[in-house]
Amino acid sequence: MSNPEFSYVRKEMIAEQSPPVTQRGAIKWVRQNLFSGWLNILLTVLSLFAVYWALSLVLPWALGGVWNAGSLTECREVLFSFYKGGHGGACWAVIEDRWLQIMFGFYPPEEYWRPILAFVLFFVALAPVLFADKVPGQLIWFSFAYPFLATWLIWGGSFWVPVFAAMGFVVAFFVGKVLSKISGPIVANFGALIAALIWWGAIMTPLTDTLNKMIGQSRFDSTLSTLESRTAELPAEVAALEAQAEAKEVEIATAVDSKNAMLIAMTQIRVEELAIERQIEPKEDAFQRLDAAQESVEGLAAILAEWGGAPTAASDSENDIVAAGAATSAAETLIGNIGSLLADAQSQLDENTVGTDDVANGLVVTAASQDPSILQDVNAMVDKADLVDPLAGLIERASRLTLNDSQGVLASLRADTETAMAALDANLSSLGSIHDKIIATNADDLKEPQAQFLGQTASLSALRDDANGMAQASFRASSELSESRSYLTVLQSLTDREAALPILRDATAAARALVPSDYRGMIAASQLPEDASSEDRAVLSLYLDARNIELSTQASVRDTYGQLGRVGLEPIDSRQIGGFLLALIIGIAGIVLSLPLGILLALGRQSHLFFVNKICVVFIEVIRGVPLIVWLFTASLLLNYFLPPGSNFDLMLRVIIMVTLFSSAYIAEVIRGGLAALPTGQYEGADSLGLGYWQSMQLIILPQAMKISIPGIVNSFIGLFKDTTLVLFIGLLDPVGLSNAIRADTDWNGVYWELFVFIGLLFFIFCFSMGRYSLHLEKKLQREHR
Amino acid sequence: MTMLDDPRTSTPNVAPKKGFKLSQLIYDTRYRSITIQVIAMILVLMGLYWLVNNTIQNLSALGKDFDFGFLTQPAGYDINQRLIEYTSQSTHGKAAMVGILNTILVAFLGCLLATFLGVIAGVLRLSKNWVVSQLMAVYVEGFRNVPLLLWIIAIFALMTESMPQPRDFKVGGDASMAVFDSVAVTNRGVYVPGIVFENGFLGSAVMNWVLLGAILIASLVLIRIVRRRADVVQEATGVRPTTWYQQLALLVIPVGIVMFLMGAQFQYPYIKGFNFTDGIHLRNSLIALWLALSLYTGAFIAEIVRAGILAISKGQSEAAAALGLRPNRTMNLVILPQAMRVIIPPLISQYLNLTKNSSLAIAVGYMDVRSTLGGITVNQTGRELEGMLLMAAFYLIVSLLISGVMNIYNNRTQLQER
Repeated sequence: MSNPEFSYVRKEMIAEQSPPVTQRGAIKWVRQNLFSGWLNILLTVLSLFAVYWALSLVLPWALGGVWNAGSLTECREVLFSFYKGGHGGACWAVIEDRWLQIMFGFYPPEEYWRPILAFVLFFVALAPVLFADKVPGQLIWFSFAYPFLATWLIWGGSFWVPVFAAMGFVVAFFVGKVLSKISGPIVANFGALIAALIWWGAIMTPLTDTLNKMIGQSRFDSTLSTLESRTAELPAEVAALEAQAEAKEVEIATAVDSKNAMLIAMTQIRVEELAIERQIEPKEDAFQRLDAAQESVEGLAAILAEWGGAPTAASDSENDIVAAGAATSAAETLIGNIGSLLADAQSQLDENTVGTDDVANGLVVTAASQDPSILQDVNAMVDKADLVDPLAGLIERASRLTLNDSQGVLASLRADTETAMAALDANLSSLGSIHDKIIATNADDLKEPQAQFLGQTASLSALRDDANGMAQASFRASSELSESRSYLTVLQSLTDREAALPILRDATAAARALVPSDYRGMIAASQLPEDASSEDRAVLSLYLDARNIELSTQASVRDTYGQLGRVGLEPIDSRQIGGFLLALIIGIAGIVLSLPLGILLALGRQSHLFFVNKICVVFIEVIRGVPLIVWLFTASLLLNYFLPPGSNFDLMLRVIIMVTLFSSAYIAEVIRGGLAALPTGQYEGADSLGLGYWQSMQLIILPQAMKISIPGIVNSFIGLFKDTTLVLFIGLLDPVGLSNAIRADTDWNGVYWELFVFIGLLFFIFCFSMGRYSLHLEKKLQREHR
Repeated sequence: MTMLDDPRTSTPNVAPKKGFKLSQLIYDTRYRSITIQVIAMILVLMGLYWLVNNTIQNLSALGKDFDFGFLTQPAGYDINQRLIEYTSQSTHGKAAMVGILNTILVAFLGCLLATFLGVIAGVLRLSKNWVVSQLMAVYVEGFRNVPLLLWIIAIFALMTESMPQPRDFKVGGDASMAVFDSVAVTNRGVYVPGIVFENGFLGSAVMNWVLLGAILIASLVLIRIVRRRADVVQEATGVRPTTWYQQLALLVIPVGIVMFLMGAQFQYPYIKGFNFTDGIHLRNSLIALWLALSLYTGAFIAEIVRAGILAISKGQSEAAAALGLRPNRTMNLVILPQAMRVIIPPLISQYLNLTKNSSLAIAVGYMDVRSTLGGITVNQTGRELEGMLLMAAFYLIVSLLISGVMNIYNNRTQLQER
């Protein structure tokens, strides 16, 4: 039914066309995001420049680094042989050499599996807390057992020590359960606390001692005979290992010699290039001096032009006279500068450079024969006499300079200086092209030696690794020998010491009876009043000495049995723990131990009980108001003052106690936030069910509040983990402290950035991923709440 | 909330018919709270007594006493960076004062630079420009996730290892001074021009500066009065009088006149022998500590600023646009006043952190209060207990003052909820 009156009407739509080039794809994105306005363009250009600048500084350094070297000097040798002097490349060899130390400190390498296993198990213990819905509920028992397990893995010792420590909680639990049936929760909690304290304070130590003694006595004879045979065998083993290590040392010395020979050979290939460099340096120096001299002439001309000749005061006024004087002295200084700069330049050229013929003679040997154009360049060089002679004239003219000279004199001086500079410049540019050509001709010759040199340093560091292993084995054997010997003496004297104990006890009691009763509580003779008689003094110190001997004998017997009866892992001293292991231990222990205290503090701060509330507020504010470093110094200097006289324990344990108190204040604030975020309805709901305070907290409030607080707890863990670096100031070896220790080694003296980059990168990876995890948790919580 | 003394948690409080029984102290909620508080108080007092008793015993065993008299004895050590007169003959108390002023100096400079960096980075991180926002993200994450101590040591090493020596600045040397030949960055520190008064009104240079500061504060007060007046006029008439030239004049003229009368002059550092003389010498320790603290705290402030701006809902800017406000006025009148309420409290707690972190001065040998009072003085006199107590008290007072200011601000700007 077409109608001829209508013009053509399109029946079907044409296909959609793609938008113009500027409105789609990458170009649209770039236009909109990077170049949408003048400010944006400026920002883009500036940031691209900043990125380029930073990368151009860092990338060549980092990628051109040396991985195989035994010391900073060797790093520099490798860099030199590859045309990268000075800061041309990083010395990553220090990381390759010491990364295990930065991770574990001085932990014995054969026991590394223990902290690693503890770290892996940490995540298993965390699983019931973080992924409660995905793991079986029974796993929570492992979480409770984990702190004891990890302590045992890291510090070693008999396996029953952590078991007994954990038993304290079990005892407290059962006592609490029994008491809560008889009386109310307050009495039950209090009783449980007392029972646990009694267990740890009065039962655990005797129990451990008895166990040690039982096992120790049964093992005494067999240990004695093993030790005797070991001490007989070991000297031969040690000698064999030492001989091996010595042989390796000889091998290393040969390798070092051949490496050095290679270095010398490479230097000989480059001898012409180095000779040219020796020509270029003084000439560049002279050029700079001429430039400075010319600038001084300009300055002089400016002063003279301003004053229209020598500066004279226009009137008798004081200001005018002072101004003219200042101008005169400035001009005279400039004249002096011109003379000395020109003389310096001349002496540099005269004494430290050679003539064209000498340059040519030095080059004839190899490079020039390969590339004849080098000799043409030498011929094009300005002659030395043409450089030096004009300067003599200039110096002579400069010495005649006065303030009354005309601008013309100065201008001609300037022009002549410029001519001399131009000649020098031409000379320098020919030298530069010669230098480039020599490098180009040498490049092929150097390729093979360079590859060989790299191979030699690699095999050298492999040799050194072997030698290190051997040295460690021999050190281990010899220390085992000395330990076995001393252990043997200790064991042999054990019976005597045990027999002496009752006698010593009687002696102490007798000495104590002599001391006047007023003074019996004293722990040092210095506590006696001024007017105490000398007899009293003597008696008191006799008593104190007797007691000290008794106590130390007792302790030594107990220690011997502890060693003899140990069933478990090799004990590790806290001083051996360092690096990231130390940071992790302090960080994790600080957070985990501070959680219970933090919860109590947070509840206390929310409490309506006036006194409890105020105590908590004061504690939290005092801890938070003072920097961690002051608390750490308190731990290292003052904690011994606050504890009973004579108690002295590990610095690391003191730090962990202080860090726990410190982070409990921060955790308390985080949990207080969680408590405040719960709707009042939850509290009221708990009330309406008729729950008591602790019941409602335990069953309703805390589970929800803790869940909200987890991101905050993770964040305070990140902060604490970074702050563990501060323990360096009280003598513990954290990663930064270890970097100082590494730098104190003569091999690596002067290595800064490589260590900083490595340690910083490790911290960054750890903290950044934790931070991302906490963000993820926050988002998940938000989703679940709505 | 459920609390032990909360009447809602228990049966109705009908007075017991019989007289008071001892078991009520535990079972009756009216008395139980008192019992608990008394027990807690006794426990705390016992703990305190235990600590104090141990301390007294230990001190007497060491033959020490508890005495602050050492503060008046001569210190006998020198302090190279100081704001007030100090010689090795001055007292330990004076040394502590020098340290306190140095702590305040680096904290003040750090807060200024950190705020500047943080605001710029925070705003730019929200920029639509992909390159800029990613660059700022790298800055923020890089500084937030690496320990401050490492940054301090790294910047210190950068200054001492990579900067030219002062003698390189001599004529013909490799290095040259920056900013119109007035600033020299060397491996011994940064030399900047100082201002000297040729004929100051008052005896010492410090007093002249105090005078200038007082005049500046007076000018600021006057400017505030001018603004208030403008506000009043605007309220009354709806038209705001132009006052910027009055404010500028008030700010510049009085200070300028006094400085001219005192003969203020720039004193440029110049090389003499192998070192610089004149001008102000900022030691590497100060520069490293200042830069590291500012960059580190700046990264945290950037996050605070970003969160503050994001916290203002989009409806606010749309409503402002609907009222016909231009973008910059929207920012000034609508977004910023609301964002400030979110930004200021965490910002001030960052200032507090920066002040506390300045105790890391120990890493570079900057003589702050921890290095003087808590370091050399404690080591020389053996008064660990007294020194640590004084130092803790100083930091505590500073943080209580700052949090007091924060509380006042919070109360003033709190939203009045219905």
